[in-house]
Amino acid sequence: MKDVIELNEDERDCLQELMNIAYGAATAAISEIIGKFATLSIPSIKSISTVNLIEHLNQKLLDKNQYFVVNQLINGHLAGENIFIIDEESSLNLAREFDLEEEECTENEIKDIILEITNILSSVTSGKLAALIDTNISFSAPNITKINSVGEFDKRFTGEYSHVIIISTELNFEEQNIKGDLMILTKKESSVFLKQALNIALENL
Amino acid sequence: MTINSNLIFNTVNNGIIILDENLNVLAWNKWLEISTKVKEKEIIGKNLCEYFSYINEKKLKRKAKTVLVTNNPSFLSLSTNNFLLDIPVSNVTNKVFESMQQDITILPYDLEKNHICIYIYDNTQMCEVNKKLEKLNDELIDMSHRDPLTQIFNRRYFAEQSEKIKSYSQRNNNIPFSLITLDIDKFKNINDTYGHMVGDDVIIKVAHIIEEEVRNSDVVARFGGEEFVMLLQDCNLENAYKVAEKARLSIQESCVITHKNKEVKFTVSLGVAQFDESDNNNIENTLSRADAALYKAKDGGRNQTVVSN
Repeated sequence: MKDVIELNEDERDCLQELMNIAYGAATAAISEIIGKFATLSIPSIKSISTVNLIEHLNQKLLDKNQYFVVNQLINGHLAGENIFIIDEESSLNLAREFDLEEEECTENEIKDIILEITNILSSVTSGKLAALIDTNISFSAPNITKINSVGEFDKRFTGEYSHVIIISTELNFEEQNIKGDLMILTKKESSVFLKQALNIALENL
Repeated sequence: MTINSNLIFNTVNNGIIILDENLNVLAWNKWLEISTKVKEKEIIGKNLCEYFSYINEKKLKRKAKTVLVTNNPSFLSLSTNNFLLDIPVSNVTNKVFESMQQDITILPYDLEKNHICIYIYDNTQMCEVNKKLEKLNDELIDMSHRDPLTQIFNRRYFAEQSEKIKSYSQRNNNIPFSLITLDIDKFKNINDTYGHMVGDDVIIKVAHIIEEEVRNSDVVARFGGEEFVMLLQDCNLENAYKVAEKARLSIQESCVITHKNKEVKFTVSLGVAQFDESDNNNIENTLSRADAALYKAKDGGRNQTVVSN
């Protein structure tokens, strides 16, 4: 088995289409829950080893001081981890969009809102993707940490995931000045499953 | 095989609540009856957040809506919420938490009727173990940062903190910070005359005196033997010199008493340097300049402070 599971152009296009559908479901869910319109950018899909993952994350954490990072484990054929990264200012704006009053905006309540939005984005996008390729997944409870730099990322990354496919998108509530990054990291064996599932989907077109 | 869901509902070792979208209780399992001492017949049809007024209704309603819209589970994390229902822990010994620490999963139960289901998992034991491990870990970190003889910080901690203070200074328009190196004068003579036990007492005494002369935000470290370093945050050369002189005079006035009730006096020499551009962004260079000043103080007759120029 190769160390890096590469997707060819057709597979990548197919995954991008499936993710667009999944993101549509996620933004519709957010709109129904909080009555605000969010956008998720066109997914960027990369196959990389975890050695390069830190570098990839570094690009996400350039100019702000503090970030909240939420990770949620996905179990099943698409096993891996979804990561949502949001800076402090966006977090506060997000809390306001969830109707938190100023006096309610404590760090724990803000964390709770970030966990909630991650859970919505993560479960709806991964759930929809799983449904589109005819498999089932389950989710573990998300965890949140506050970090100052990419160096504080859990070192288990490199041990746990020797190779990942990253499906990355930006969440934007433009009027509310909220920006976050969602990354879906699939483990090596899940990447093999995903590649096979994409080929079945392509055959059925 | 027919599954007896009622049996599972009432024997599972977790709490299970079924609620409508307005958070009125539709079902309440046996585990909850035992843990909360509230009978199912007492709470059925009542609003959960009115019955337990400490529950954050706004938050729970938001979670219920998320679950019903996404048809996926939502969670109440222990990192932000210790519990949903306040259930006192039953430990007789070794109690860490007053209330049961709960992980909460909220699931869609009947989407057509907008019913949700809440699972309550007791995670108190795991949290207790984590709490104890965190405490032990903190103790280990503290031990790795301290000099065993004097209990002041060691060189490793100094290295970590000096980089932080340097970064803080650079982020804040180069707020000045300074270093003082300190060495006990003729320490070998003290050891040779009175023995190592008295020598150790002198080192401990000096450590305690200089620790009292600095602010909480400063760092005092023993670099080894009879050598100490003070790292003074937000402090220019002039003020650092004043701190050094105050420490020198306090030490000159102090003494240790031997087991034969003899008073042993001692003095120190000090070198002072402020971190500046000549150090090429390397605190080791500031330290070298302070050390050079310290040697000048020794050469100049000891028991004095010299400033690096």
